[in-house]
Amino acid sequence: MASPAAAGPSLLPTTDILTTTNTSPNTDAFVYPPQYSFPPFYTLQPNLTTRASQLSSWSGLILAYAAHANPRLYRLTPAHSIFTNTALRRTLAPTDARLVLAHMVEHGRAAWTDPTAATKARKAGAGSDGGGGEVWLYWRTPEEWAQQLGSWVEATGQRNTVLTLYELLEGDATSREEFHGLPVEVAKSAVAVLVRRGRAQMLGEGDGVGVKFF
Amino acid sequence: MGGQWLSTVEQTSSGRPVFLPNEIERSLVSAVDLECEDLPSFPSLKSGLLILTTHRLIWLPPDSSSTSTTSSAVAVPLSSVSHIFSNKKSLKSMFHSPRIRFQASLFHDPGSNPDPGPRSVVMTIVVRGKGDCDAFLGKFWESWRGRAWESEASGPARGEDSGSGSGFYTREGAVRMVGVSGILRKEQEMWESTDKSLQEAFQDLNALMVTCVFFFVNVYGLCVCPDDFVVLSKAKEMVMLAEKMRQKLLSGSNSQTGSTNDDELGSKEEMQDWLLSVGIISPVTKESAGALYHQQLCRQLADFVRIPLDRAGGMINLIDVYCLFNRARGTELISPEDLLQACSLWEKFDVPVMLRKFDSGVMVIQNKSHSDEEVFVRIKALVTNPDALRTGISASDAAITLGIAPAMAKEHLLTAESKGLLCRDISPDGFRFYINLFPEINQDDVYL
Repeated sequence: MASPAAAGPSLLPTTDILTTTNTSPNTDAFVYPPQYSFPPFYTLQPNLTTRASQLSSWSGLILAYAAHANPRLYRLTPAHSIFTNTALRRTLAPTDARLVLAHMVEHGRAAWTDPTAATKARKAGAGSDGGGGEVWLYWRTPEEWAQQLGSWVEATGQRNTVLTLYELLEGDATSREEFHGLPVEVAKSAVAVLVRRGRAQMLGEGDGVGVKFF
Repeated sequence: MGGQWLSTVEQTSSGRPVFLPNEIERSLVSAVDLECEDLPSFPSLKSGLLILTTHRLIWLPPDSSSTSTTSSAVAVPLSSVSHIFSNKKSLKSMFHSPRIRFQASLFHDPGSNPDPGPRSVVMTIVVRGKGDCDAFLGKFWESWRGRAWESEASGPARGEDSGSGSGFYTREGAVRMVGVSGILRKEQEMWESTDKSLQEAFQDLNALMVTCVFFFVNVYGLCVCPDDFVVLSKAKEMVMLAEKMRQKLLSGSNSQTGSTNDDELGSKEEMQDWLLSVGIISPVTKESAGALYHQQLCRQLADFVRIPLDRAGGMINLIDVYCLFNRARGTELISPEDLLQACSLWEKFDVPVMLRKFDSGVMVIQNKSHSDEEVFVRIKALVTNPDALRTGISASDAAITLGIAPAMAKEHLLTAESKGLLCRDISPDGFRFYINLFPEINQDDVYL
């Protein structure tokens, strides 16, 4: 069509590894990765190399869990139950959990829901009980969401049409899409990616935000 | 070398001279030349370290730590010194390096040496460094006049008797008593003096008996009355008692006595042997070594620590060394700072041990040959057995397997952790270590 350069390698997310779980979500129980039952997983490792691996492991566990959960998990606080393994009687301390979230933010796998509070909390020190500990989970990165949105618009022939965000995320037309139910904040960052690429335009303000795809 | 004038001195691996039994270090001066104009064959001994002991003047080559020069450490026995010249204060001497001259003469040693060389020579000690020449001269005099070597020669019987063969049990005239062995020696001396007086006593009694008999025979013409016999037998009893006491005393000090069935005596001997095995006969002191104190202490410590190190498996806590070392030194205790300073000097010398500081701040002494790799291999074997994979290991588990103290085992585990071999688990169950599986977990992860 008119945008060959922007067309992704696949129009449908069928090639994605997690597609199978997403098309029929939550019919089978979530299989925890092996690190979940490894006791040292719940103690912050002082060796920096080991700690980096540990934080990445956590990131992997959280994202896999969030993508698999029903309903899907989009936001997470350091006090979430995912950080506790009752069978092992281990819990990752909230301060350490916050480090995990910070690690995810750093690697583009999450974003603080309140960036100013997060910055403030980081400056204040270890105090994570206050604001700033919550993140948006990017088990799909904004780029991936943007691609899905673009693909859907393309597939349904709605280019150059203005769609409200509510239509996109909550409308019946998208009920079979992965981005259905996506929080507005995450969707906005995905649209922002498209805007940067010149493939979309944001219209209006507040709740009635509209998006026009090119 | 200087022929019969100089004897070679053995050195320990850390460059300390090997002392004779009972030999005690009195003073050290650095940057010293030893010269002898009378002997053309006298070797060139320049700017070495001169150690005055109760028995000898020991000259160590300047870089005594390197093994290539160890053979050239020499000594002049104080017994061959026949005269020490007093320090003449002259205008000339003000511009010279201070020097001490002494005369050494050769005593007749029949059969062994028909060398027609001079019977006595004058040697000069030239102090080129900052050493206190006058103080050294004073101590030289003292040691020479003390004649410690003579008292040793006069009591050879004791040396033979002494079961340990260490020769500690000899009388020391003017020698200062130091260390555990010093205390033991004092004790021994006390024993000996008691022994001697007892011997004298019963010699007197014997003499008395003999005179008594003579007296009776001569005066009374063999008309000895029964009462007198009672007196005589009483004297004999006393003699026997004294003899018995003497035997007991001897057996108490002598580890070769046949009466080893006595348990108490046996354990006492054991204790003594054990004490002697750690006893330092001539501890380096601030008084004797002066400015060279830490350097010499460092070397002595390096020699001392080898045995406890071997026993502890190649690594020993600095605190333990402090205790052991001070126990061995007896009364000449050193401060923790001195110990630390002595240990840190090891870097500068070629000694087989080193000070190591763990990340936790714990300091240990270990053999240079000690390798962490070896320990890691054993730790790895420990944490990869099925049980440990599931529940991890604690420091005490590792201590049992490695045969070391738990505190030390923990240091090893922490080191292994810092190397990425282990990871930790802190829970209400305690502080446990697991094999580090994190790198493997990440490889098959979808989200990084």
